[in-house]
Order: sequence, then C-alpha cells, then structure tokens
Amino acid sequence: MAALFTPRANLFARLAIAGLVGSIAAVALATYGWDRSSYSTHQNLFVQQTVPFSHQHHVGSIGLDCRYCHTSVEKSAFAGIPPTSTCMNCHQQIWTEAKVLEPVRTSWQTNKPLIWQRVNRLPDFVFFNHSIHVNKGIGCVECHGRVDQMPLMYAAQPLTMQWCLDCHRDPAKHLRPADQVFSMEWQPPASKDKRKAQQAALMESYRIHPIGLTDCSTCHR
Amino acid sequence: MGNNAPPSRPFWRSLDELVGTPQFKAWAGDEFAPEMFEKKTRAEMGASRREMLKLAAASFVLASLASCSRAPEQELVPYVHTPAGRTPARPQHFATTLTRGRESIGVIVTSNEGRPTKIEGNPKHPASLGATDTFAQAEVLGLCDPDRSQAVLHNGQVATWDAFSRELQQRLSRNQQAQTIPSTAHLLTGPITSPSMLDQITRLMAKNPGMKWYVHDPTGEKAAIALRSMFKQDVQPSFDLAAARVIVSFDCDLFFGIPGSVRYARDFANGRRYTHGYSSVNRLYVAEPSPTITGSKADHRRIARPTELAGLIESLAARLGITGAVDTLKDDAWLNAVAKDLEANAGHSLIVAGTGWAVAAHHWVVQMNAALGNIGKTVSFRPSNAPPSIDLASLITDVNAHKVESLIILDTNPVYDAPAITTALANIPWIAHVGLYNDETAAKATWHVPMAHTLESWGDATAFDGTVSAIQPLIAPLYGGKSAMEVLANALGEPLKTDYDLVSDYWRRVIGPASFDAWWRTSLREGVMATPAPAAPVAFDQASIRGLQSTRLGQETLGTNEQLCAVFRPSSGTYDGRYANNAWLQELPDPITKLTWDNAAWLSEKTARHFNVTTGDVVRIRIASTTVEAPVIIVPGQAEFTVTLPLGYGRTKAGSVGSGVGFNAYAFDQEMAFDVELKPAGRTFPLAITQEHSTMEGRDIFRTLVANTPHEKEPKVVHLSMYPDRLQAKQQWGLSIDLTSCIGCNACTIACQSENNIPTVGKEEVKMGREMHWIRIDRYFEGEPEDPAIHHQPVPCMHCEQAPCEPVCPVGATQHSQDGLNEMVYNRCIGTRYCSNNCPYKVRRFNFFQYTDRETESRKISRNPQVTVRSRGVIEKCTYCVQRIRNAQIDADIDPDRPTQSVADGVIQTACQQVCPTQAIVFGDVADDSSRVSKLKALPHDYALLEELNTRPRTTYLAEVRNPNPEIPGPTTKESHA
Repeated sequence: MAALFTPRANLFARLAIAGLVGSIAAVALATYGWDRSSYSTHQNLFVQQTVPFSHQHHVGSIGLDCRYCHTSVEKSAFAGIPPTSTCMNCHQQIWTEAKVLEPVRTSWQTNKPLIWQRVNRLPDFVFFNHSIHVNKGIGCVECHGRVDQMPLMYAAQPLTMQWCLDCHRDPAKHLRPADQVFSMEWQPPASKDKRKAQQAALMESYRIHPIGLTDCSTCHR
Repeated sequence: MGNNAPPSRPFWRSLDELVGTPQFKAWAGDEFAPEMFEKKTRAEMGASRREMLKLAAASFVLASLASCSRAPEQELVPYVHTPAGRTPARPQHFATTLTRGRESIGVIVTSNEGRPTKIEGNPKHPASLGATDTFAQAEVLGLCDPDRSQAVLHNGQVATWDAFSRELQQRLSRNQQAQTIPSTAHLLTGPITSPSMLDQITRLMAKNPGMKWYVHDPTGEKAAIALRSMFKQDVQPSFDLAAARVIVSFDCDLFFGIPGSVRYARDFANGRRYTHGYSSVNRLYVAEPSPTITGSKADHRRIARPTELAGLIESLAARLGITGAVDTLKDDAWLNAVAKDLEANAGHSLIVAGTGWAVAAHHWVVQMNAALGNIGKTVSFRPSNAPPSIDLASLITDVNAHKVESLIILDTNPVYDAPAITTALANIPWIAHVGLYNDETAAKATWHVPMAHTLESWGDATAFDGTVSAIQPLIAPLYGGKSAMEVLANALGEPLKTDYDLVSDYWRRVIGPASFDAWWRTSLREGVMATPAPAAPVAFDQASIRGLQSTRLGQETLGTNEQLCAVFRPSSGTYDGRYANNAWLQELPDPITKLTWDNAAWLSEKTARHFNVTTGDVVRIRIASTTVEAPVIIVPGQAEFTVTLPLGYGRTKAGSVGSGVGFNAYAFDQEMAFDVELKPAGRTFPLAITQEHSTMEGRDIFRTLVANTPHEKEPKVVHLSMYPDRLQAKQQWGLSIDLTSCIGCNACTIACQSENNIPTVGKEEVKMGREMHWIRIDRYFEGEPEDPAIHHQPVPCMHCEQAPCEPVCPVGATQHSQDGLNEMVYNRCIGTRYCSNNCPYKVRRFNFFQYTDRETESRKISRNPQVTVRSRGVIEKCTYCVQRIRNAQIDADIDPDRPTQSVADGVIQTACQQVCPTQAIVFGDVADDSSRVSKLKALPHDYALLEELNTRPRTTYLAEVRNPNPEIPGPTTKESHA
C-alpha cells in the first residue's frame, strides 16, 4: 500500500513542532516583556489631572520643600496629598483669577474635595510605609524621580516588586545622608571609593540590616 | 512525653468521641470529605474531579495573562480642610464607654480616618483594665449594620424627626396644661446608669407629676428586688474578687454577663497566677444546675438542681449561724468543707447567688456575707441614686386601670422579651419607640425613632463599682439617629439641645463652671471621670432583715426532685436578644456547648435517654400553658431533669441575620419553671456545633496540675532537624497562653475577627467545619460524662519554627520571617489547601466561598485598613497580628527622640492578648530572657502542643492549675494529662 504521507510531510511536521514551541516561547516572552514594559507599569506616562499642577514650577522654580504639601511623609505610611487649604494658602493671594485654578477655588468654596488621579500606585495587597523609607535615608528622588523637572506628574520608576526587591536586597546603593533626603539635586560622590565608603557609613548610621527586608510580611499582610 | 503511655484520665470533646461511634470515626477521619460538598457521594464526585483538572489546566494558562497587570486606576481624594489632630494613615484613639444594661465598660476605640474600626479596653477604667467582653467587641459590627433603623416611622410610614418632636412636645404639654394629675404619660426604659440621663428623667418626672418610670431588665430583676427589700433603697452590689481567698457561687456566672464580669475574671485570675509560684491560690466553689464558664473554672463544681441548690444555700446559712435557716444536709461532705473553708477565711471570702434566683436566696446570701464579715471587704453595696422606678409588671396593671395614655419606650424591646406586655401595649393610645432597629416593639408603636448607636452618641455611664465615664461619639450618626437623651430633651421641651449640650451642661452644673473645661478635657482623654466624692457604700443593717418575710425556698416554688424543671439564662450569642442581628456573635461558639447560630434546650445525657431524644432531636416543651418546640443538645455536666433554655433567640424582627434563628424562650413564663413537660416532636433540626471539628484523638493536648504539689519540668527533648537554623533577627516573637487563667469567654476569638477583617460564613458552612476564626477555644471535658471537669484551650497559629505548612506550598505563599513568624501571603495563594492539610493543629482557614461581604457599603467602614481583606480561594490564619508588630517596629525605628530597633517588651500586644479579661495570652520577644513571655516559657509547667511532631511551636501553654480542697473527695485531687 502507498505511504499516506510523502517525505515532505516530515518537513511540515518538524516545522509545526518548531512553530508550536516557538509560539509558546513567543507568548511567554511577550508576556514577560509586556509585564516589564511601560505599557504595563505606566512608567514615564504623563497623567492628566483636573488641575494641571506643575511640580516643576512649585518645586523647581519656587523651591517648595516636598513636606510643605506631603506633610505626613516622615510620620505615616501615606505621604499625604495636600488639602485644598494648602493650595489656598498661596492662591488666595496670587493667581486668584487664573482659569487653571478654577477647580481649586470651587473646591474651597463648595467644600468638596479635589479629585486627583493617582500616579504612583501599588496594589492593595502591598502595605508600603513612607515614613520608614524617608527616615532611613531613601530620598524622594530615588522613587519619584526629578519632580522638579516634571511639568506634569508621571511615574518615574516601574514600581514593580522586582524593582522594590532590587533595593531591599542591597539598600546601600540608594542611601543618602539624612539632610539630603528631600533634596532634588544631590548626587553621590563621583569617586567610587568615596561613594562606597559613604554608603557603608550610611548603612551603619541608619542601622539597616538587609536580613529581614526580604521577609514577605514586611510588605504583605 | 510521647504518646506511648496510655492516658491516665481521658480528655474528650464530645460524647460521640468518648464512645467512638462509627459515624464519629468516619467524620473525624475525613477533613475535607466530599460528603460535605453538595452532599454527593464519592462515586458521584468522580467525574467532576476530571472536569476540575481540565479547568485547572485551562485557567492556569489564562491566569498567567491576567495575573501581572497593573492595578486598576485609583483616585486620590484629599480633604478640603484637614481635621485637627489627624495624620493620614495613622489611627486616632478615643476613649468612650460601652454599656449593656447595668454593665458599663470603658473602652478606647481606634478610629481610622474618622471611622471606628476596633474597640479595646481602657486600661484606666476599673471595669475593663484594658480588656473587654465579646459584646463590646461586637459593637463595631453593630454600628455599621445595614439593617439598623434608618428613618423615623409614623404608623409604619416614613416621617420626619421634626414631626415627631412636635407631637411629643404637644402630647406632654397637653398633659401639663390640663393639670392632669397624675400624668398619663410614662416612660419605659432598660436599666440606666447614666447620671446625666437620670437627671433628665428626674426633671421630666418633676415636670410631669405622676409620671412613672418603668424599668425593664430581661435578666436580673430578682436580685435588684431582693436588695431593695433588704436595704430599703436601690443598691448595686459590687464584688472584690482580689480580696477573696474563697469564693462560693450559687449559680452566679461571675465571669459572664453581670456588671463587672470582666473585672471579676481578672481579679480571680490574678488570685491564681504563676507570679507568686501558686503559693497563695484562691479557691472557687460553684454549685449550679447547668455548666457555665464560671463553673468550668471551679475547683469544685457541684451539679445541683434548683431544689437542691435552694437546700444548699439554706443549709450553708444554717451552718454559718444565720437565724431562721434550717440545715437539711447535715452529712454533706461538700457543704462541710465549704463551710469550714469560709469560716477559715472570714472577711476574705465571698458568697454570691445568681441574679435569676428567688428573693429569699439573696436574703440568705447577704446575711451569710454579713456573718462572715465580708461586707465592705469583698462585697459592697452602692446606692444607685436613681429616681424611683417600677418594674414592668406594674405597667400591665396601670394600663388596665386606664392610667397610661402615652408611653415613651427608650432602647428596650419588651414585646419580644416580655411578651405578656403585648396586649397591654395595644391598649395604649400613643407609643413612641426609640431603638436601634425597627424591631418587634417598634412594630407596635405609633412612632419609631432610629436611635443613635453608642459609638455615635454623647453620654455617660456608671460602672459596677460606681466609676463614671463619658461616652463620646466616634462618628456622626450614620442613619440620622437620635440618642435617647435627645428624645428626652424634646420631652422636656428643650428641642434644640444636642446630646453634647445635655451631657456637658449636666456636668458643668455638678463640677462647677470654673473648673469644668479642664475637668471635661481630662475626663474625655482619660476615659474616666473624677466625680465628686461618690456616696459611701451602704452598710448592711441586720435589723433591717427582721421585718422581712423570710420566705423559704420551698418545694412549691421549685418543684420536686423527680420533676423536670427549667433554667433560663441569657445566651452567650445574643445576651438577652439585643445582639441577634450581629453575625460575629451568632457565629461565636457557645463556650460550653460550642453551638453556633441557634439556641437549643440543654439536657443531660441520662435525661435525654429518659425522653428518648438525642442532640438534634426537636422536642415540644410545655411550661404552664405555653408550648414551644426546641432542638435538644446533650450537655455533659448538666443536672438531671433540668432543661436549660437560653434566652435571646427566636426573634421575628431582628434584621436579616437574626430573624428566625433559634427558638424563643421568652415565650415561657419564667415564674412557672417547675411546671415543665417535654415530649419528642418527631423530627430533627440540624445544629451547627464546632466542637467535633478538628479532633485531636487522644493525644497529649491538655494538662492540668494541682497547686502546691511538686512538679518537675519534663526535660525538653530537642529532636535533631535537617533544616538549618536560619532566623537572624534580633527579636524573635512568641506567645504564651496560661490555661489557668483562660475562662473560655471567646473574647479573643471575636477581637481577632474584628482586628483582622475575618468574615462570618453562616450556619451551613459552620456545619461543614468552615468557620473562619483564626483563634478558636477548644473545650475539653475530663472524667465522667455525668460530672466532668471542663477545660478551655485557645488555639491560634503555633508559628512553628519547623512549620509543616511551609515546604508544601507549591507557590511559596507561606514563608518564615527572620523574626519567627509564619507568614501568609494572600496574593500568592492559589488555594491548593496543601498547607492546611499538613498543619497538625488545623489552624489554617480557607475561603471556600466569597465569605467576605464586598457589596454592603456600610460594612466597609469598620474594616481594619492595616489588614488585607481576603477574597475567595485563599488560605488565611493567625499572623501574630503582624500589622501591629511591623507598625510598632517602624514607630520605634523612626521615633524622633529615641529611635531604637528593639521594641520594648509590652508595647506590642496582639489583639487576643489585649482583649483577654484574664490576661491569659502574653506575646513578646522570646530571644530576650527578661521579657514577660520568656519568663512564662521558662516555667516548669510550660508545654507545647504535639511536641513530639518536632514542629517547635512558638506558641506554648502553661498547664492549668487547680486548687482543690483535699477534704472533698473526688478525682480532682490528682494531677493529670491526656
């Protein structure tokens, strides 16, 4: 009886297997890549707000300290979004007629809060605490980027668990002196030796012990 | 000690287990038996397992795509003006008071962004000392109950508060203008201890001469009547168990339900704590017809039917030389020993009788205390300084005499718990009901006003010992409720006064305007008011007794020994019925029967056999002319031919949770408790009992010791392990539970539920063993089924150093932290339940269904934001309150004055530890030898559960110590463990 399949069928069979394996691998790689891309993490994506608040103007030009608005960053898990009264501290006196500030004035007068779209977000099952990070020498810039150069806010970092773990496994690289935590321009010493020495000294003075930083219950409760 | 030696005295959890019925063995062997799921047999389930695998494969692929996407968009909504003193994400704490009839417990409530989420005791309040009972913990749920009344109703139609207020004032002023003497408007309330409200009532009665104030207390009126007759005024008793070396209780459940019970439990436990090496231990004798948690802690518990109990009280009185008492039990060894013990401890002893007991019993008891010199030392009587009140029964007479035209009912539900009143109420032209729910009484009222919850009101309250404390609201009334004081203000013609004005005005008058502001601020901050010198305790004058008819506790009132008699008790689930709609309390197992979601008629095994019934059979109980059907539950330790009927169930208008649950024991006339008949009804009723879940099959679980006998600590056998010692954090966490102190009250269970957002699962799921409590109290009987000892053992997660649950998780959802915690990561869990399978203590709970209510808006406010709210399909378990540990560690580390990386001992208290009335649970650093928990673990009688499995649990127990009287023969004189 004649063969059902010609020798060419072998080629198709092999191509099909290779194609199947290849497409599974492609899907896996695509998922892997997609998860880490800014499509997924929204890194560097400007977020539209009701009021186009410019950190570049308020922090960069005017020189407000982070804590003027984000008041509870040293004391609490949540850094704090300023109440309308903080905005009105200044804007009762300056730019009182500006159209962009209309929602702020309306909020003030009607006693209804302003609604902001959250830019730096973590899932609900992550319990992030600002105060411990800030008190242990992690600068605002480390995670939030150069806000003094942001006309509109965007997430400067991917904020994935992998990214958090990179620091939790080796915090030394991301530490800065306590008085520089809220500084925008601070850079670590240029020379590698000085940098390493400073990092070691900071690990010591902040009493940071990496063991335990990678315990699940540190962030997941 | 391994499980090689046969148990010297077997511990058992249920009669089925003791006997080893074949059904029990099958049930115990199969934890996740498919019979439980949708009632299919294994054969029928066969096909669906394949289906399950197919679906699992498909969903695995799909899950990989869905799992790692970004969290949904969120809005940030700041304040317009930040409220003073509020830091975002940091809770605030406010002191207030929670009341239940004459009980008042000072509490400190945690408020997250203006929402009360957790109630703790106020360490400065003498009724609390930092602890609370189960009912106080449950108030957080009661506050956000969506079934709470939300609108003013006029004849069932929605109306306005203003309309009610106008009509109320009109009604009362008509009364006054017409010079109608006496007033035909009257007031009906529950027991009130609030000085400012009592002042309002006094003023109201003065403004309406002839107005009567009826006080209805579904539990405990007889004691009040007895005391009033002896002291010629209203007095409140309070006990000092710390000063008592010998305590004799005649059916008085000291540790549950009576004003001061939390404090009494603490004082009792302090009298038998390890700190003094048990050298001077108190002794508790209890005689009762039906087991209670007080009875379970007794060194000698005597089962006595009500007739026998009456004889015991009078015979003891005779022995102590009380004139008029006749000793009918001359050869009773128990009574001999008790009398001797009391006389040896005159002035340091205490005799109490239950509040439901006849007036004559209380007469004897007060006289006995007086004879022993206890008055002023272990028991004192405080004048209650309330305007004169009348009991509810007189209301019926007054209605029949047409003396009642208008009735204001404040926060009491007599149509449900005193149904004899219902026909009388129908004859009152105008009734205004103020209550939390549109309940049975509201249905019969002309007007119904939603009451503001205690957590929404201003007020004050007096505790068992006379301490006054303020009630301050944690949140504005959610449903526009009005407090009882605001209603009374309207009745007084002061409609614009808020309850804040009313309370502060009263105290301004009492304290004086000059020092009021500072005093008021201190009172609110401390949670205790420094009131001007309280009235001196009332002395007991023997002469006052002479005029009284010393009614004998005769047979005619208590029935004969052969005849069935009934005992009525407030239930652990709903108290007197007021908490029927509270799912946490409904699902909390009764400490003795472990029954949830229902009440049942308690019978002893012999009695049940006599009537040919068993647990779950429905019987028809007739008392006098009322018949009610009730399921039976067999309770070891119950007196023969005595049926206990727990009150507070069988409600019809409690809300969606509580209506139709259980049978209504209030339907019976409690005075006729000797005329009882019982017949099987020929059907069964399923009961959700948790006791048989997770049995431990004769292993060494519970240990008891006798005080002052030498005991060698068993040498700790450390088995080698192939796992490396890996824990490197400086502080290592551990827990110690003192079984001597634990009274089995379940406060820890419900505090944990409140702190950790634990859902309730409902009766059907509890029947399948799926209750979600992270800490449970296992109850063990010991000895003979007719007269067993009862023991309680709280079981949280053991946080084993070599946890069997950790290596078996396929996705690594449970890990071990560097400081000794067994961590649970909900977002990784995929629900294989292998960890729960491997846990020898069965402390891991699985969300089989979406138990957490994600829909009801009002429920969202009371959840603790520090703990994840779990969804369907994940395992959860006790975390040693890791949120409290981490927050305390962060706070210590960022402290601006003295940052430290070691949290001081005692700063971190787990929820179960903080609420425990007897401080049985201690949490702390086991790596620090000077910490309290380390000292406890070093004691010779410290032991771990199932030590031989080498799990090395961080949770260990101190064996229970009892102090039996060697002169009373019985099995309690030996040391034992299973």
